[in-house]
Amino acid sequence: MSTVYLNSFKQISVQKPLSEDWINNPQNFENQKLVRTQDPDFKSLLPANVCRRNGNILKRAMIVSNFALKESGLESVEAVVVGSGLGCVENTELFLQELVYEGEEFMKPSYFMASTHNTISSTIGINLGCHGYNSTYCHKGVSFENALLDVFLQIQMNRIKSAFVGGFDEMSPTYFNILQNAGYLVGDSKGFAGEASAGGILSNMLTDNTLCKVAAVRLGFMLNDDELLDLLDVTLTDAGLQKSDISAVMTGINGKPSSDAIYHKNLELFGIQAPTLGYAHLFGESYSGSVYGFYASAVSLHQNKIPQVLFLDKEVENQSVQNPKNILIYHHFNNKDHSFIILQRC
Amino acid sequence: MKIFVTGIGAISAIGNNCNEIFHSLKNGISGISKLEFLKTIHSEFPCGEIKMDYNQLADFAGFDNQKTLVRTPLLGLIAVKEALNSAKLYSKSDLKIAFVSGTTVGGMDRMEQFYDDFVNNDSKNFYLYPHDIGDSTEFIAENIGLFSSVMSISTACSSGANSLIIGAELIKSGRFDIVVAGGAESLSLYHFNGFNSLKILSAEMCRPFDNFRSGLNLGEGAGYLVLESEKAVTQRNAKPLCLLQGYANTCDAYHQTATSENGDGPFLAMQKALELGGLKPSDIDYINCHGTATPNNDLTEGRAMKRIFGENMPDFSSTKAFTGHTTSASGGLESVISVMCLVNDFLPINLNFHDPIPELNISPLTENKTKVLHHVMNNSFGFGGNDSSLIFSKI
Repeated sequence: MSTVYLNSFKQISVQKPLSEDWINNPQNFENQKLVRTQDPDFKSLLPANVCRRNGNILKRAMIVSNFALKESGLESVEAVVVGSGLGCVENTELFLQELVYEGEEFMKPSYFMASTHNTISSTIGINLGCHGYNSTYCHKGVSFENALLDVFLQIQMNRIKSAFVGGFDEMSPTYFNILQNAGYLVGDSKGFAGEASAGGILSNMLTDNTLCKVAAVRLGFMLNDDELLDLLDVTLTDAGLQKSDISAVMTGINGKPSSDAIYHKNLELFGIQAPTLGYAHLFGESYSGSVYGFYASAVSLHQNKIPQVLFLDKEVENQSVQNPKNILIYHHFNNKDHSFIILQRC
Repeated sequence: MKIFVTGIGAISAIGNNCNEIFHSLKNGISGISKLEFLKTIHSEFPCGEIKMDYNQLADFAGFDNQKTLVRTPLLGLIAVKEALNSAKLYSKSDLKIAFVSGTTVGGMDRMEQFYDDFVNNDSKNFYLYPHDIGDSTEFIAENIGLFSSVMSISTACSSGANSLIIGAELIKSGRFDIVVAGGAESLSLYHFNGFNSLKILSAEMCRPFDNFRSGLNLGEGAGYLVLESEKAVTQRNAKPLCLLQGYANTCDAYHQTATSENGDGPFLAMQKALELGGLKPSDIDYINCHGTATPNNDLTEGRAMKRIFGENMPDFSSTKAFTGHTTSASGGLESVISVMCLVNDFLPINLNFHDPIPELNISPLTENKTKVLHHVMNNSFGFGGNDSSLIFSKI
């Protein structure tokens, strides 16, 4: 089996785009419910006709994939796999509104054409000139983890040597309200909903730019406590580790009481003696928002230090973990979907 | 490592189960008809509509909670149940079983009915839930209760095929012994009007590969396969139907809704599927084509087929004039059809074909044919240039 390395990862988010500025200058979004993406200057990064023709999420996808490929040092990738819970929901809504409010008579194709969920991965495929494997996973809060698992297995099994993998979601104000009414997203919480646009290059090659090793990826569905513990054990075994080897546990704790309670219960069940980290207070929540937990963990390993801003227990001052070796990333969605990832320092 | 197919299940406009579908194929009975259940002003476009409403589908699926009826997951549940019965897979014992499902429409049927209500009045919010794709998958999985892992794929019209591909890979990786994979898609005003706005719907019965083809007929349905490792087959004493021998997912990387001139994506998909299966083009006995009957698809798929098979074109047909184009379900549904053809040594005809496309000069089957089949190829090509090809082989 080939080893899987993360050779680059770039983000556009509610924080300063395409940078790690959030570590030292995190922007605070307290008391906001929906925070939209802080976009880079599209016009300086993409040709004018490309900017005109494509929606924001596609522009973000092109820029993230361009920067990720460049930073990876690779010339091309053999696959593109994307996780996106809702796909191109802005165009979906525009077409839907036309259908619902103006009727079926004179519908135009442009919104429809760019509304299928796989528009993002195919746009990246066209952008990177990649004719290889191309897929899109849409599975609620583990959409990115679905995509990551696919690429992870394919590199391990030597089907491919390299791939772009990312998580992308956008959130319109109307759609946000709909989801809020349905009890989704932040709901009653202190956290906020954001959008997601982040991705990077995985390959079987260790390079000068490699951020970390991806040592394990596991998914579970509708597990009882014993099954969840079994899944954790298998995850650790995949990485050749024991609980005591874990430097920190990255979670999707986001200030939503119903969801956080499950995190706290399960963390206690795991019994791992390591600090708990979070990213949702920085990047917000969205279906594929967990991509930022992956990203922040990778950056921490690469920089040999887990920054203070990722620690959830604000009571303890000046926390940081120097020289972290292994970060376990755990997510659940509605306590139905569970995912474990282990990232390891190279 | 071998991937065994041990069960199949499907529903479409030509039958509510595999036997009915096979009977319609053998007897040349098309399911394309005037729409009754999808309420549209464009009733001039016939579709492969399943003639059951929400409650009838729920009854048929054995689902008795009336609150959250959504068409796509109900179709999926019906097909998955049949696939599990066909594989005689009723309990998980100590085997690891995963579920991978493809759809794009998901709960859009309910979203478009209640959108205004969602925005302005939240009284029907329970319908919100099923709008996203993952929810269709989880609805099916929760009603079956055998799966310890689920994944959802959306690559438009190749979603079902790509679910089968990752399903096979999950088994080959050793993580799962059994994976149930395929796709489901209901008709919705959303994509019906989307396809109409692209001017690719035909007001006539569709004519795949015909020179005077005038576009596609949409359809709806579901198709799922039970894939198993040798270990699981032995342990369960299962009766395999065939092997999923080869598969490939490629990207045309050309345009969102059109295939490149020479069908580069489709060509690569077929080529790589043969390669993975350790097969030569001459090993393929029959191709169940994507064959949507749009001008662009049939020309480019035909060009890609000629690039692969040259002058030795195997027997081929598109069964979309029977079922309509079931979009995300098509890779699953047509895989089920391919498996039934392989097992029964039967080749279905391509309805409504009269005149070959002059440039290609190739003709699909127009008369039923019986011959010994060893390897059957199934093509699925989607928006975004997500092109996939699968090969099913006799054991």
